[in-house]
Amino acid sequence: MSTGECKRRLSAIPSADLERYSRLRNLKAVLDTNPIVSGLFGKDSVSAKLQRHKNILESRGTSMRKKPYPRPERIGVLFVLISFWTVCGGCATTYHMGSGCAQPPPSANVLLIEPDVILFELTTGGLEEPRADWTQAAKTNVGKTLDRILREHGDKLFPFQVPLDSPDRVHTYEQVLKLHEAVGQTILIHKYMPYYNLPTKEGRFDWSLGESLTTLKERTRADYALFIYLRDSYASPGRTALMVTAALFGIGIQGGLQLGFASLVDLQTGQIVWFNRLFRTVGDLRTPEAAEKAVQQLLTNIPL
Amino acid sequence: MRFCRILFFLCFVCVGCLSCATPRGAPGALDDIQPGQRPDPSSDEAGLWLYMDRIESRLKSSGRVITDPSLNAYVRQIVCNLDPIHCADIRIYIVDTPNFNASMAPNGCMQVWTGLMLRAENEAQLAYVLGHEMAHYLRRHSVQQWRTVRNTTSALAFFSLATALAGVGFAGDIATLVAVGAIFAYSRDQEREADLIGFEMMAKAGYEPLQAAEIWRALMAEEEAAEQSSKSIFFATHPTSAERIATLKDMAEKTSKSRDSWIRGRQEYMAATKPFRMSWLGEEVQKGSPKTTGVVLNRLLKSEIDPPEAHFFLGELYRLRGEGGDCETACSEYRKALEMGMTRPEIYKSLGMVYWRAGKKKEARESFMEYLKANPDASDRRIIETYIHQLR
Repeated sequence: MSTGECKRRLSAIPSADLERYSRLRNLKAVLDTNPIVSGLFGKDSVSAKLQRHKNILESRGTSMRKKPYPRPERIGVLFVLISFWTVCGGCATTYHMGSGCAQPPPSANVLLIEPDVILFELTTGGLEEPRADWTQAAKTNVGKTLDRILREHGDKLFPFQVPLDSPDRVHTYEQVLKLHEAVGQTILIHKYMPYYNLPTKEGRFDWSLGESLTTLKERTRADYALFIYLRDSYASPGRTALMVTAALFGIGIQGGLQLGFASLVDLQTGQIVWFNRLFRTVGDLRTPEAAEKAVQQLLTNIPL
Repeated sequence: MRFCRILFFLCFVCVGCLSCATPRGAPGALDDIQPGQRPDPSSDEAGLWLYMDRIESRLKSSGRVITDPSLNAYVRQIVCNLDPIHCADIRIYIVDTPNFNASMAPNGCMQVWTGLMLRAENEAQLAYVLGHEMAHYLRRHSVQQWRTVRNTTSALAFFSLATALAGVGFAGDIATLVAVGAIFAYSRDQEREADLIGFEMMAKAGYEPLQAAEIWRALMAEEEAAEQSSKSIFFATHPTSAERIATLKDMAEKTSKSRDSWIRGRQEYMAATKPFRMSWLGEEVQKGSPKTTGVVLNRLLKSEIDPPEAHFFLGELYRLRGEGGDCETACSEYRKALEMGMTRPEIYKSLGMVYWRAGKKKEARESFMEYLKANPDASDRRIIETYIHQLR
C-alpha cells in the first residue's frame, strides 16, 4: 500500500472508532495480566467488544497491522505503566540529556522550584487515598535533602520564592507548573514506554517548555530551573493482607509505588537540558534516609 | 452451588451495610463542619483537603475562570445570605462551561458553571442550587462518599479474589455490579439530603420557595429532549427529577404561608449577569446539542429573558444545524430579533449566510453589505468582501 493510499483509507475512518478500539485494547492488555482487575471489569465482555470493534474497523478497510499511531488514553497508559513497574520493580533510573543543548556552565544560577510531592495510601480495593500527614513529612524530608544539595552548590542553586503579594505573577507561576507537569507526563509516556515512542523524537531528546519561562529568568536572574515531581504510595494493612493472601495462590497484586521525575530547564530557551525519572516499588519518602536516597537517585548525573 | 449462594448472601449484606446513608442526626452520622474547622492532619478527610487544595491552586490559574469582580461579588453575596456563618470558608469560582452544574469540594472550593447561570431565571433559583452545594460542604458529603467507595471496593477486592479462587468468577462480576449500584444509591441519598438542607437555607434567607422546583423542572425538560438519553435508573447519581420536583413543590407549598413576601430577585439577577449573557448564549449554541439548546432558548423566551438575543441564537442554532427547513426558520428568528431591536452586526452576517445557502444571492449580498456597514472594522472584512464579490 502506498503512503498516499494508506492516508486516504485512514481518513475515511471516524477517529472516535479508532480511539474506542485503542482504549479497549489497552484495557484488555491490563486484564490479561491482572486477574483481580479482570474480575472487576469482566474480561470476556471486553474481549468480545474488542473483537467487534476490530471487525468494524476492518470492514471499513483498515488493516490492523497498519494501524495509525494510537492516541494513548490516560487510564490505559496508567494501567500499562503499572504493569510495567510491576515487572521492573527496583529498576535503575535512566536519565536523558537534551540533544544539542549547551550544558550549564559552572557559573550558571539555578532556580529550585518547590517540589510537587503527594503521598498516598493504597487502599485494599486499590484506590489511592491522599495522606496529608505523610505528604507533610515527605516534603520536610525532601526539603532537607535539597537544602544539603543547595549548600553543596554554594549560592548558585537557590529556591524560588512564590510572589504571594502579586496575583498576576502567581498566575504565571501556576501556568509554568502546569506546563512542566504536562510536558513531563508526555516525556514519561513517549520516551520511557517503547510502545508509545514517537517517530519524530527517535534518537533525540529535544523537549521544551517554550519561551514562557523567560519571565522566571527576568524576575530571578537565574539561568536554569530545577523542577521535581514526586508521588509515592504505600499499601494499607488491608492491601498488604490481600497481597499476601493472593500471593499464597500465586497471584501477584500491585502494592505501593514510587514515581517521580525531575527536569533541568534552560530559562532562556525553555529547553529541557536534563531529565530523569524514578519508578520503584521500594523506597519510602516518609523517612529521612530513604527520602535522601530517592532524591539522590532522581538527581543522578544532573549537570550542576 | 450452596457455596455460591452463601457468597452472594455475604456480598449483599456486606455491600448493603457499607453503603447505609447516615443523614444529619442519625446515629453514626458525621457532625456538620464548624466555621473555620480544618480536619485532623492524620485523617482521610485531611488527605482529601490536601488533594483538593492542589486542584484548586491549578483551577485559580485556569483561563476558564471568570474573574470579573462584580459578578463574583454578586454570587458570593448570595452564598453569604444563605449561610452567613460558613461563607468566609468558601471560595467561589465561576467557570466558563456551557453546562448545567455546580460543585462543592470538601475544602470549600465551590465551582459554579456558567451554563447554570444562563439557565437560572432569577436570584432565588441560583440561590437554591448554591444552597444545595453548601449542604454538601456542611454535611461533609465528599468524605462520606469517599469512605463508602473505599470500604465497598475494599470488601469487593477480597470478595473477587475469593470467588476467582473458588472458580466462580462470575459471582465477583455480579458483586461489582451490586457495589456500583450501592455507591450510586448512597450518592442519591446525599443528593436528597442536600436538596432538603438547600431548600431550608433558601427559605430561611427569604428566597421564594417555589423557585427551587422550577430550576429542576427546567433541567428535566432538557433531559427529556436530550439527543442521546444517558438516563439509567440503576446508575443515576441523582434522584429522579420528577421525585425531586414533587418533594420540593410539596415543601414549598407548606413553607410559602410562613411569610408574606419572598425574594425572587429577577431584576438584580439580570442586571448582574447582563454583561455575560451574550457570550454564554453563544457558547450554549456552539455545544452542538440543538435539541437541548432549543429547550433552553425557548424557555428563556417564554420567561421574556434576553428576547432579541434568544431569537438571534435560535436562528444561529437552526443555521448551524442546517437540516431541511432550518434555513427558513433561522431567517424568521433573525427577523424577529431585528424587529425587537437587536443591533448587533453579526446578525446581518448570519442572515447573509442563510440567504446564500437558500440560493437568494441578492438578499445574501445585501446582508453582507449591511454587516460591513454596521461593522466597518470587522476582523473578517476581507473574507466578507470576497463573499460579496462571489455573489455578484
